[in-house]
Amino acid sequence: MATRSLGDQGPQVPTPKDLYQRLPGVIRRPLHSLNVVGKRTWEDVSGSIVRNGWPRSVRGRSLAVMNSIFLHLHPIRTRSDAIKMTYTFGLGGISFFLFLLLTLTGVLLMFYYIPSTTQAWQTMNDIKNLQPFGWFLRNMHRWAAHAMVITVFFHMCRVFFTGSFRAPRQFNWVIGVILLVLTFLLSYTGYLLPWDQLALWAVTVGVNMVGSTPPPAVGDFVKFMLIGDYQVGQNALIRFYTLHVVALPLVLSIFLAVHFWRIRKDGFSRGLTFTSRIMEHVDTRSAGAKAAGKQK
Amino acid sequence: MATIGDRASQTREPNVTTAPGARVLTPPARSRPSTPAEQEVGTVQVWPHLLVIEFLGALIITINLILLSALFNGPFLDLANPDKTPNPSKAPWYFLNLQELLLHMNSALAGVIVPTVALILIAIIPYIDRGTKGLGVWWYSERGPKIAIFTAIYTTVVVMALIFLDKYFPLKANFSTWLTTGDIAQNGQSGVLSFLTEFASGILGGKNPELAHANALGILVEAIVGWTIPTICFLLFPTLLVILLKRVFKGIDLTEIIIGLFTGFVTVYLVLTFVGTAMRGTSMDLYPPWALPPNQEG
Repeated sequence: MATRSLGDQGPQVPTPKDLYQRLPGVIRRPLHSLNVVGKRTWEDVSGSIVRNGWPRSVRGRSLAVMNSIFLHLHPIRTRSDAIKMTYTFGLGGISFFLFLLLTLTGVLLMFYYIPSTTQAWQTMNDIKNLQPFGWFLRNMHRWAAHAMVITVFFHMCRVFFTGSFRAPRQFNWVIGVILLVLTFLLSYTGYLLPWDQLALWAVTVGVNMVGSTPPPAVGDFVKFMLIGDYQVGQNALIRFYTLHVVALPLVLSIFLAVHFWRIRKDGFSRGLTFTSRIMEHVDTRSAGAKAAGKQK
Repeated sequence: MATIGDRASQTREPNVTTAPGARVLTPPARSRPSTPAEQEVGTVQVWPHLLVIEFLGALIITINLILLSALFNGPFLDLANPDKTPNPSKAPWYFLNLQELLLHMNSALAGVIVPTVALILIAIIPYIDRGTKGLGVWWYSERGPKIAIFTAIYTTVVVMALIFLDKYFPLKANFSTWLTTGDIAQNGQSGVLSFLTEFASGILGGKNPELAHANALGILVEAIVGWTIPTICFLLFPTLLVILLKRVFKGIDLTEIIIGLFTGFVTVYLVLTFVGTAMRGTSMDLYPPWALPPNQEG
């Protein structure tokens, strides 16, 4: 394997040291005499931000992944056939990226939106028509939400049809089903927030479905807990808003963390990590099947 | 200098618990890669090989979303008005499959029981299909895609047939007619199944026989059309699918049957979502997708 590969040179941009050298002497000389900018200042600063410089070797690239909080969920090495696009189509990653985009656009929308039946529609209208790029933010949030429902669903199909739910990943599949439900709930609670005719009646249909939980007393209770009233109104709006912007994203994030953690620990379904190599040799039959001496 | 990132240290065995009673996870010696070279066969470094893919993926998604958002506005209608019900009122598209079920059966069955049972069944797949074969391989076997296509066609035909059956042979209306007890004074005709209503109203009792008849009729229609027939369908058609799969694909194993059943679920979800979105118009009547009437304000 080549020790140097694509990108080892690093981005070719002038460092602050180069820029400093180009400063006019009038500014550079007094700074120099004060000894503010030492020989290693730039390295000291950049080294304090990123633990490693731009990686230029196998070891450096390993450390770059391991020593970054954003990258350390990745393994150091991975099977080349596991990262082929035609294997996963990147659906899980795309779903996660959409979740990040939705968080970003959602937070920006929250600066303008007021969850009140008298003001919600008006603030939405203002976001669309008055706030700079408000229409764009809102469109992006909406389309990304629809896209996320689709990618999460297809991610589930991909995992099923590649048999990636098999041991030792059984429970991660269960977590995935929970994440699918949470995605539906997030999208559904967000549906009410514009407080237009589409929102009100779509949510009313859904709430009535929940309200039909048998027996009727339980159904009525569940429905009342969900919307805080006998019909969709202010109480429903504030409940859906709280669920949409705080509660559900929080719960989803926790399950997401476990989901990713388990992928890392159980190994990529097409990779052969230590754990999955062990599991290949562990007898996954039930105790009864073992006793009966059935063929594996 | 042996640091954590060192290649030599990667081959070190992880700590294995050897507490009393703990299962010692030690693979047979031969299966363990012993040298760094052996371990690295077929692997690449995540930096840059995977990170480049992730970065490009994020870029492509962002660009597409920007284009989509710039070109198409999300729907935004008039201020919500509880007194003006749009016709039809539809749930978000990903729940329209459940709303479609709602048209054909009891709302508790369609809106709560069916989705709950479906999700539980999906969640327990790994605990039913416990084999290790097919891990990380598309379609499990050569027959996998064939089974999926066969199931998709079968399911689409069955679902569409049931939807059209309920349109041109509405079960609720028919059973209501069959179960009606005739009023002799008004020269009314008794339905063929009126003896059931008579029997049920006898159990219900009460001083007003007409009221008892009406109650018995309502309960019977709901029990038969709302619960019994849909439940039979939910059990019958997957069973029929399994029998057909066993006939068509000789020597089919459990995994392949589950592939069929899962494909069936996905197909039902997609077909019902399509029908609910593109074929349900005014009063949730069935229309061809190209002639769907626009939404009306109630």
